[in-house]
Amino acid sequence: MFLKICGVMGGLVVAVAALAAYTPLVNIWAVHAGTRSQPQRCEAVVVLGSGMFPNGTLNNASYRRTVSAIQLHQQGLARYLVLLGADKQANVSEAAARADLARSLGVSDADIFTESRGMTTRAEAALSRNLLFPRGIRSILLVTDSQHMTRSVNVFQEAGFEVHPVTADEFPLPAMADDDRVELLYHVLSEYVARSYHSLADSHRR
Amino acid sequence: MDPSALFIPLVVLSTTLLAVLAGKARLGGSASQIWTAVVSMFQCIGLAAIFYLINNVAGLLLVELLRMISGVFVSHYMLADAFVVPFSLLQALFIHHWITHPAPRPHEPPQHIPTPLADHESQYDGANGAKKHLMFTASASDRTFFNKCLKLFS
Repeated sequence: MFLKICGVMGGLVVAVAALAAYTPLVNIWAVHAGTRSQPQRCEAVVVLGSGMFPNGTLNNASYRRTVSAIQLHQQGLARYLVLLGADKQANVSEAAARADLARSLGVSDADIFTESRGMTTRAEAALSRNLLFPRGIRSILLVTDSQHMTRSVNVFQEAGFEVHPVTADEFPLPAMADDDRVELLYHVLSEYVARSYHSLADSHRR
Repeated sequence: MDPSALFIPLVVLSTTLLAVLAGKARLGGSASQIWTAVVSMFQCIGLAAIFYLINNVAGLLLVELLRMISGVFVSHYMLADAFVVPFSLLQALFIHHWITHPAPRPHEPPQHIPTPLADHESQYDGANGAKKHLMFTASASDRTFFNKCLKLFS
């Protein structure tokens, strides 16, 4: 009986993998589950942390988010760059590595804020609030990937910010190749698990 | 759909067909066993999916426990490791083989293995009860050893 159930589950896994890889269903789901960019003039760009490689350089997602934020700054959509990131590799924090990148691309030191203590999205929102509210900054462009954005917008709004999302994905959306679609499915499912975990943690906290 | 996406599935299909033909011609595989093999494959994949879920839940609980005990922040992103998939598959293969190929219990006679001893069994039937009993409880390697002994003493 147990092996029969395993057999049925195996069939379902293969069917879902085939649908994900060889049909555009995952793209439709990802667009529905994620948040779209709504860039507009704000006071600051807040870039959420992602991670680093062990050699002290930014990982792909972190690099994309930082470059997107720098572009928004250079387009004149926001004066300040708030670069977050608690990961630390080779004695360099992610926030500091991002600041180096921003300076090398012409952003003035006076326009850069770094914060490297936030381990979670919620902590990043609280630290950004401590950094920006005393300066009278409440409207922000929030930069992260499209799947993480839905949860992040809620967390930053709860912290009191007026949030305008700008997405920077490390995965192609829409994904055209089979392996890209499977990777996208992984991102969408992971974010659903994260949302469930956070809603459970929130209800426990209350 | 991008036609190039079908390239790898076609390669895999071709090598699978070649392996089936080779298995049939050289290794004695029969066509009727193919369906059994397909069912076993799906069972292994399903078992791997169950192990994947169990591993993730266990990892999540362990992270929460470490956070509580040590007071140090341990990230849930530690669970985002691609190796969970192949490890789950290995667990599934191991458990599936263990379930579907149980070792014979000591009091049960082993499956009939055709060896030269089978011919001797009829000769010795009734003549020497102790030898016959030994033959029925011996494993294949024991039987080979026993055959050599019989040749030596006959």
